[in-house]
Amino acid sequence: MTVAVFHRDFQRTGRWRDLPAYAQIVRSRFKLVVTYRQAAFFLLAVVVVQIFVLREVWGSLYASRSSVNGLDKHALIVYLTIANLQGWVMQDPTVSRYMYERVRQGLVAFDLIRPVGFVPQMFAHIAGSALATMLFVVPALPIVAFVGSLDAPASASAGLLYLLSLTCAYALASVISLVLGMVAFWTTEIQGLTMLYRLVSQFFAGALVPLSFFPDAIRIPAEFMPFQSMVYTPVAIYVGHLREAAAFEAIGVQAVWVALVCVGAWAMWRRALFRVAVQGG
Amino acid sequence: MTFVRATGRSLALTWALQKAAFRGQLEYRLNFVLMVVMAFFYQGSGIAFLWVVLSKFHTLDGWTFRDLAFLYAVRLLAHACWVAPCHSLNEIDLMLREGKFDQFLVRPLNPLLQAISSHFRMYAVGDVITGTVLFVLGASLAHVSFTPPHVLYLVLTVIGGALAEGAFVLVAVSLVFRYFETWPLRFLIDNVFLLLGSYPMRVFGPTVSWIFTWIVPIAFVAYIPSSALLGRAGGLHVSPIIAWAAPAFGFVWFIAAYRFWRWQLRGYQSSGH
Repeated sequence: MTVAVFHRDFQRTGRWRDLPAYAQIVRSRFKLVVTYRQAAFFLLAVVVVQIFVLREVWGSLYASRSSVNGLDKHALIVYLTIANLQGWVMQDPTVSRYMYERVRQGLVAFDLIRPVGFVPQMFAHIAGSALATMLFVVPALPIVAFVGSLDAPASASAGLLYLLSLTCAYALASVISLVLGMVAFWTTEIQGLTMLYRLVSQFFAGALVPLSFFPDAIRIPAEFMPFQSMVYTPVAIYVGHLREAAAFEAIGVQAVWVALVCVGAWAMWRRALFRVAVQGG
Repeated sequence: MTFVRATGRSLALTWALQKAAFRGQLEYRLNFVLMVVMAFFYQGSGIAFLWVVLSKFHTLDGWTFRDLAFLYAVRLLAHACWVAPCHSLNEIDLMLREGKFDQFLVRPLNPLLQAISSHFRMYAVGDVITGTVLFVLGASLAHVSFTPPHVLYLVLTVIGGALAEGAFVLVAVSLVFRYFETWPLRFLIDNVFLLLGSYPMRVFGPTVSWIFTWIVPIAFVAYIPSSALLGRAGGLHVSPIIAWAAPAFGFVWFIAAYRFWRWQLRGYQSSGH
């Protein structure tokens, strides 16, 4: 009895005090996404069609060549398959859409007066949505492998570096979606911006063409953008296109981007709080 | 005769409603500019992909960038030609959920035409502008001789292509009376037409080509007509006579889709009942 009480008290003090609240957000977001699974499956079908089209178009481009820019046809198709699947997971609009709706309807006031922080709440939403997405990705893998091509990472170290790079990529994508959502505090309208982001990031992230295939005129600007860190870097490491020193350097660039975007998000959040205009309040 | 007069009156009413909806949206000037820019990026990323890969590989299944740009532009023009007048149908889910569809049934105008003319969104203008600009570019890059029969064929192709895409959107829209949420299916249709319609169909292999010619008429939107206009009809998977009859397929599909809509409409249940 005493032990149980002690245990409960122990749980509810310190920095982990709010954990049950976040767990609840994660659970409800997970349930919400799973309830609307029909929509998720149609969106996934678009990704499957895109992978198929890319495989056939690139297959025709390669024709009789065995290797271009140091990538053979098989590695390229694996690259495109993983890149598009990963792009689908990364471009989760949950948080930016949620913030947009809450700000527009004035409901953001309720999120702000809750005893747990607003930004951590948003990360809990991201986590819930990511869990649901993983649930959809697993049954999709055989279909994706059929229309595109899947293979093991180029080597054991490529696999490990991929996981590290993927973590950075996911962190970067999550914080950027948070920043996009924060824009709603100023403009109350972000649908155009999120759409633009989706299109520009897909192209410059290298989901359609690996960055190393870009002509210099757009490859050099693309290397100074954060988008390549979200798709190109991890997937190029996976298929062995970026190796050893080049791979470490690319992960370093990713880390710098994560840090920069986090600082930007923090600075924006401090100002956003003063911009809260509760509609009808 | 009464049928002709009634149709004329319906179209005049639809036109008047469309104009009113358009004027309403003109109030938001910044939104207009943003939506045009968006449409440009949306369609521009597809053409940028072609430009990037062809600057490296030079041809795709024997097609140069010039020819591909023409094919892409014809597809886009057909798409814009469907989207510009009919994009309100994208909001059909909401019209049913909010009970607006009840109004359409008691007014003296075809419910489909009322749904079509109920809103106007500026992205439609963006699609038209981008489509036109890319078409002018594509047509000047590719070597097409614009004789009067070619121009007539092109106009009919664009209308036929718009109706082919419209037919599938209309089938998806009709399902709203049973399934209430149809936007994911329409999103898929939009992307399938974009992704499979913007390249020479032959690269997808014989089975996929057959399906997207005879079951879903995507090949008739741009691939077959552009091949005919660019003098490539010999390499097609259909006979040249069918290639020159391409616009007719869209018309036939659309009539079938309209009949499906009429049939599904009978299953309408007002929200709240």
